[in-house]
Parts: sequence; structure tokens; C-alpha cells
Amino acid sequence: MPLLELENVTKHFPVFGGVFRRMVGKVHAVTEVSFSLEKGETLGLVGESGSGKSTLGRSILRLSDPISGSIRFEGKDLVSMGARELKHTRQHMQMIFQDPFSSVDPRMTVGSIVEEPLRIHGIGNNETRREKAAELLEKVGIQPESIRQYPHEFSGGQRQRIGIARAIALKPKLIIADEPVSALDVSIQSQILNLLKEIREEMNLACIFIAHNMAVVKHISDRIAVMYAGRIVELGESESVCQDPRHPYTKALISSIPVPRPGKKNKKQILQGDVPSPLNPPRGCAFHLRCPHVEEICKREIPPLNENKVHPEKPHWVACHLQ
Amino acid sequence: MKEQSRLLLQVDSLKTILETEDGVITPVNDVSFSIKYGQALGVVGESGCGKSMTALSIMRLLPHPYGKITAGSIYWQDDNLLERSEDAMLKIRGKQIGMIFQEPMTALNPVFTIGNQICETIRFHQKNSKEESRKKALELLNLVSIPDAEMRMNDYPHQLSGGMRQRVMIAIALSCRPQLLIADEPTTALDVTIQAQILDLIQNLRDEIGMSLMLITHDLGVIAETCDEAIVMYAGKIVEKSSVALLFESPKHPYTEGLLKSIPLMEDKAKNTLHTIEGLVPSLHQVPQGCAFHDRCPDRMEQCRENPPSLIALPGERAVACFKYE
Repeated sequence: MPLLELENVTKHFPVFGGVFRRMVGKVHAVTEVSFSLEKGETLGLVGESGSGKSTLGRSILRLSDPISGSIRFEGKDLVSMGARELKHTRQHMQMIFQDPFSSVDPRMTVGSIVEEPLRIHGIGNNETRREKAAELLEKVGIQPESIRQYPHEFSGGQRQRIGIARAIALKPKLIIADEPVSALDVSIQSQILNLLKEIREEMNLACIFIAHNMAVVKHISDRIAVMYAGRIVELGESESVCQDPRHPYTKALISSIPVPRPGKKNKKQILQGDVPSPLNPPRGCAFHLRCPHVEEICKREIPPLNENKVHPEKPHWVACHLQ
Repeated sequence: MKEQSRLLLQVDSLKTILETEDGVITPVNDVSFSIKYGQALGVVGESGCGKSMTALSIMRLLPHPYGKITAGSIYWQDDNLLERSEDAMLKIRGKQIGMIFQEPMTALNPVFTIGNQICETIRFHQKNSKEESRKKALELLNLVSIPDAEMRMNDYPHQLSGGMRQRVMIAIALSCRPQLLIADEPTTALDVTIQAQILDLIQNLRDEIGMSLMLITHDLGVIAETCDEAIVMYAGKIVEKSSVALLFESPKHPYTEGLLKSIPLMEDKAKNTLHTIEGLVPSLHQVPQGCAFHDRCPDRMEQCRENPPSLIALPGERAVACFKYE
């Protein structure tokens, strides 16, 4: 049984307008997303802003309700779960946020931030919790003596470490990391990525790693899912998605990454146009307005996520009519 | 071609201080560099290294009254900008030196249409009639490839996407065909596919109107693809200066080297451990004594702790501030 299984997860936000605040439209944030995640596995979720990757991450923890479809964690459906059971299950699922400056309470000491999950779930007493907090801080590379300091005394990278300590306090089975390194400097980014890898291996954590930077995602993930306009357009093993991308969007995404090698600049594939508005997604394949290979069928029908059989030993799914 | 070798901008021993609540900091400390006609200079560094403050010093747009230039000179062709009056600077800014900022939403005025904002700049610097300036604004929007430019002229900034807003900013910056464009993290807030579009656009415009570029970014990849020369800044100082080709081929300063190795690359084997630079990016409030990088440096020596190294010229018209090369 997989640790986490998503089936047709859809999240649409209603938009209200007019004098009577009637619903005038829907933001199609996430549409019919299905995948599964094994114990200890890391899935990278890549996409540009507005592609629905963060909403999907939050939906898995039921931080953005209501959703349709089913999300099963160790076989139990989270979508229909009652509040009490959900709280209990959430022990095993934790989140790391993007912005280390706003994801911690500025008026709490670092110690109480890291202790809080233990307190909420009634684990240990004050003394053991304090010890545990010091131990966790040490593990993420923060001096345990800083337990009485406040978040503003730390830099962005250190705060992200504190966020990680908090997330692993309950020994979760799944961590959802939403752009954990995008706000950090390059030299700090690699420190945090290495720390995440280390902890993941040590605790055998499953991880959903959300980011917009394909190279970063590749470094940490076993498999990668590429999202565009709320749907997964390509899913497969990291190596195979990065070396042999099948969807035209994935190809463009990879070729757009600036490479720190001067002289390599000419084979860039530059996409026309903008990311479509999720309020009013185009008919058919959402990518057809920017796709260099567009054909008639793309304008009419939404392509299903089909298995690509080019490399039978490496499962790889692509949502494109032209495959 | 004779103009090629002449200097457009020459910054010499520039020192800028900022008064903050926690004391005076020096975000730009003894910085010297120059930009030739038609050249693209990249300025790279991490947060708080002084790269944006260097740009604001050149434009004389430092936050008033906290920021001050205390030493050095900034020569724009044959003029020392530091001796210019505020009125004279108004004529240079936008007309001869254009600037684009990181966050296009805050740099545009939300209550005016974008057509209005482009026309404003044109009419300020050139004595054009309303109609003429409107026509020029339309041309500019077409130049930066905004679709349905005529309709977009009447849009307000919030009606545009991030990439579109950045295009409008570029259109405004280019409205008077400046000789130098200073772009401060122009693509950092944008998605990669949009970033590729904007960088491509800047490149085309440079080829078309022969403009020089000063591109400030933390992304070494962007520098490699866009610039001819580069300077690397750390804690307010230049630590390395080089042509882009040489910088990436053989970085000299341990910081540059570490930075280059820390970037995750697509061609790397998946899931290997990344190179890291130990320690933290120093705050300008507590710049370490001696070489500011010494406590993070893998090659540190005794003297690095005591004295700050100065820039040493190396073959290939490059320079590095490190005792290793003395």
C-alpha cells in the first residue's frame, strides 16, 4: 500500500462578484490530479506561479477545504475524515513553508516554536519537550543554546532550519516542503538542500518537494511531476523527466533555465505568451496557446495523462496529444 | 567603432554609507569599475552585498536622508555625477541612464494607465506633443512585444501579468533611448519561461539600439548568458572582476568558486550532495575583520583574519581580492 494516494483531486476556488455577491466564476487551481507516493520516496512538484502546485500541497494536508476527489494516507481517506481523526493523522504529515520570515511567530522563542507540535499533540511533559527541542535544533545545525532567542535574531537560512526542526519534531512520515529554498541565497540554498536530504534519509521520510526551479527539484527527488495550469502534464523518474522530457512545456521549462556556462546561450527555446489565467483556462490543452507544435485536436480536447511506453523499464506519464 | 574603447561610465573608489537604527553601515565600500560603450556588465552577489546600493548610488537615488556617498567619483562620460545638481540629475535619469527594478508592481503607479506613464517620461525629456508621445509610446510597447499594444495602453498596472509589467518597465526605461540601462534583478520575480523572454528581449534591444547594460542579479546563470564582463561583490566590496568567459572557466576568488559549485545543475547526477559554503552571509552590521569572507573560506590563512586584501591585477585583464594571489 502506498503511503499517500491521490485520485482526481480537484480544488476550485469560487469567485464572488456583483451587487449580490453571487458566484461569478471559479479559479481552477488544481484539476483532476492523481498520483501516489511510497514510504521514503520524494516527489518533486514543479511548475510556474499559478500552476497550482502550492494549492495541491496544502490540499493534501487539508489546509484548503473543501476539495473533491480522494486523498488516502495509509489507506484512510483524508477528504471525508472528521476533525478529531484528522488532527491525529496530521501528526504524521508536516509542512515546511517558503517564507522563513512569516512562517514562525515572531513573539515565540525558538524553543517554544519547535516544541509547539509536541505540546499540541500532548507528547511528554514540559521538561522532556524542552530537551527534545534542544536536540532537534542541534540536529538541524542551530546551537541548542539559542533556545531562548527570538526568530528575528536569525537569518533566513537559520529560520528555515528552525522550520525544519519544527516539522520533524513529531517524527512524521510525510513532509510537504513548499518552496523551502526559493527565498534563500545560493550559498545557503545548498546547505538547506543537503540538510533536507540528510534528514530525509535518516528518518526515512516521504517528501513532496514543491519548487519552481527544475534543477533544485532534480537534486532532491526520486520522481518529478510537472504541473501546468492546475494539471499534471508530465510525471516520471527524475532522470527520465530531466534527460528525456516528453511534454513540450517540460522541454521549454528545462531549456529556459539559465546555465552558468558562457557561450551556451543559443539553443534556448523561448515560449510565446503568458501563463494562462486560472480563472478562465483555455479550452482543450491548457498549453496550446504557447505550444510550438499545436494541432487542431489540442484546441478541442484535454489530453489525458497517458503512460509513455518508450522506455518500458522507466514508467513515465505524459499529457499530450502528440505523443 | 572608435567609441567602443571609450568609457561610458567610470566609478572610482565609491563609498556609500547608510544610517540605520542599529548604526551606520557601508553597503558600498571602495568600489571601482567601468562600463564601455555597448558593453554588458554583470554585478553578482548575495543579499546585502551592496549590489543594489551601487546602482542607486550611480543614479543618485539613495534613500534620503539616510544614504550618503562619502568618497569616490562617478564619471558619466566626462561629467562627475556627484558634482551635478539634483535638477541636472533629473535630466540624466531616464534620458541617458534608464533603470528597471525588481518588483514591477511597486515601480509602476497603480492609478495611471500604462500609456500615461510611458508618455509622461517621453514628454518630460523630449518636447513632444501629446499625440506624438502617444505614438512613440505605442511604438515602444510594440518594441517590447506587448500584444494588442493599442488596447493595453489604456490598461492599469494591475490588469497586467508580472511579465507584462516588466515589459512596460523596460518600455519606460527605453523611452528616451538611454545609453545605459541599469537593470536591478529584472527577472527575479518572474517565472523561468518568462525570464527567458525578458532576457531575450533585453538582448535584442541591445543589438538594435547599441545600449550598454549593467545587470544586477544573484543568478550566475543569467550573468553567463547575458553579460560580457562581471564583478562579484561580497559584503560591500568587489572580490573579483573578470570577463564572463574567464570567470566561469576559472574562478579565482574562493567565494566565486564556492558560489559556482553550489548551483544545482540539470546535468548533475540526480541526488548527489551539493557543494556548500559553510557559515552565513554576513550582515553589513557585523562585517568580519580582515577579509570579510575569511570565516567561510576553505583556503583561509593567518593574514586573512587581520588585513583586508585589496584587488590584485591578474593576467587576462582580471582582478581578485585575495591573499592567495599575492
